[in-house]
Amino acid sequence: MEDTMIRSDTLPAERGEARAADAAEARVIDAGKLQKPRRKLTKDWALWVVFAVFLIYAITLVFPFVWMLFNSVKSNQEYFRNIWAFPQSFHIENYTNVLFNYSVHNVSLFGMFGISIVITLCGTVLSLLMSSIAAYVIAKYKFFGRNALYALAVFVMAVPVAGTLPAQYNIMQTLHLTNSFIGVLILYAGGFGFNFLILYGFFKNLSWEYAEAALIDGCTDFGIFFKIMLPMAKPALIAVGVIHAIGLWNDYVTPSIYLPNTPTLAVGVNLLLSELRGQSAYPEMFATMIIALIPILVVFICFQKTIMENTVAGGLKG
Amino acid sequence: MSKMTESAVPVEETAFSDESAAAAKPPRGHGLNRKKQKTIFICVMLAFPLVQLFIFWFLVNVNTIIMSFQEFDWLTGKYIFNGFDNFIRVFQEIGGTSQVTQRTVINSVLYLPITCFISLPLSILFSYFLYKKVPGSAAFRVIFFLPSIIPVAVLTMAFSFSFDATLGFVNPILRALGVQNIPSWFGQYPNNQIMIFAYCIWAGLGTNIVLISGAIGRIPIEIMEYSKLEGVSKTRELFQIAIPLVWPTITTTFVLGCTSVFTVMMQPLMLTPGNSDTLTIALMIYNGVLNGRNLPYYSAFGLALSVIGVPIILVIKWALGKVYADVEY
Repeated sequence: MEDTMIRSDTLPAERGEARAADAAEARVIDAGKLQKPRRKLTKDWALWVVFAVFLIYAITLVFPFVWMLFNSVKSNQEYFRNIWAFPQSFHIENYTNVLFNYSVHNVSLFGMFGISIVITLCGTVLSLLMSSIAAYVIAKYKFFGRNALYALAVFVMAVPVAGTLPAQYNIMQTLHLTNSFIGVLILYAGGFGFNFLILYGFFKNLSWEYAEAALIDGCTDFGIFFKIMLPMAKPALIAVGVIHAIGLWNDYVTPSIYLPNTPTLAVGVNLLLSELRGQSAYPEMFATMIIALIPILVVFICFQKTIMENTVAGGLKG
Repeated sequence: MSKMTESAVPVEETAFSDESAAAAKPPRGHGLNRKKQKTIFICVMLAFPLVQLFIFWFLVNVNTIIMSFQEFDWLTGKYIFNGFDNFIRVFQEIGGTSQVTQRTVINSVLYLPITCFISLPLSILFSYFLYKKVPGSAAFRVIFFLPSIIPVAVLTMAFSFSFDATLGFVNPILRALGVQNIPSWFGQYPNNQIMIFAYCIWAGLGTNIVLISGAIGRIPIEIMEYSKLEGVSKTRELFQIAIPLVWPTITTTFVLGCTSVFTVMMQPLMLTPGNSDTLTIALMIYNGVLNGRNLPYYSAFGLALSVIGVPIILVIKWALGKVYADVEY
């Protein structure tokens, strides 16, 4: 509110600096000044109603997790006695129990972390590499079918087809890629997704002068890409990569189908939560949820600006 | 289009022309000419991405079509052609021979109005106010963003457990507020389906708000300042300035809402596990694949619905693109 008031007060001065205000404009500004008290009141009122709505919505998003955090360190009896009370003693063993002592398909929560880290890292690196290779070659080299490939990439993104999962599974079976890390990574290593379009835009705008200089110095095309272009794309790759990594970390469908016996965190947590709920081990269930939340929150805190700004851009371009 | 592309890349074209390569020192190490080097580079680099695209996009789609005309023959252990049998069964089931299939399609279609006509307008309204600098808007943006990155298993469990009849915290709060006859939230159909829709709005609103308010934030400040000086009302500013200028973002969000008919599956899978009343098209296909059951039938199921649905979505996308002229700013 403060901010808006200051801005509207300084407006005439700003406009005066920018260009001479003519008489008609001055009249409009004067009229605006006269009306201000009444408008301010209605504006105040509307903004505070919206603020209240936002606050309630924000509370509904945050409160369940705060409530679970408190209840995750209670003993089962203490939780059943009163779901609202502050914990009287801190049962940190709830956390170590779910991390090491419970398992899904003989994999503990700790093990699931390991599986998820490996798959997310390898999947992200492979996918970024393939997307940047495809984007770079198509953006910077002239060859037969180049425009067709770009059009195809846009087409693949634009036309959703439901029900290709059975056929995909069938092909994966034929290639003996089910129940295999390699299979999942090959699926993740697509070069023509959304990342392709973002990186294509990036490479298209990148000056070719560096490459020209390197060519004169006898650098090969491979050298130009890996030693010059890829390092220059680092900021774009980080932005795309962080968002892509979060997507892979949270992916449920692919690992649940193609890695049924080695659950990733996203898949295993779901199974573990159902199991703990079935056993009425609620504090441990909450502990599992908090543990599953921590890595994603850490990444979000570290890369908050990158994640939010680029998700916005993604929304616009998609 | 192709002319534009050509003119946009004059630099690299001159760099690759034979004259400039000849003028430069010959590349070190091998005696290949510039053209051959280029060809080898392009082939080597594009080999994997193209093979991947060919198998997992082209062959998968072709295989979907082939499989939808097949059935599994238990005698030979192979897939054999059975004409239009799968498609006939799909339409018979949707027509009423299978209540589960019929309900699945109805549930899925209902996600369209929920996302496009409830969630999206609410998001636009909220985004506009977030842009208008409601106190604490920076903090709200961060909090609203959280649902889109929290693992869905955790978020759904947080939601469904909050409504747990005996141990959740929603019912005690409602009782304290004097609400009588609290429904059994995740009990019977349609309550459980309504709760899934409620979850989708609750969790989806935040992401949409961040996307749309980000787009409104990129509108040049001069336009908004000018409208203020001209005495344009808030309502008019929203509908005649903000919405037309962020129309591409709204179109994208709307089209994504339409495709949710075919893509939504995590929410019912996790909020109502094992329940056949709340199935969606994608979840039914997923369950079929997971259980290794009758893959050809599910191929036909997905294909038949895509053939009907995708053109409708593309027409909606095209029509929405025509509403406002695209403005560069």
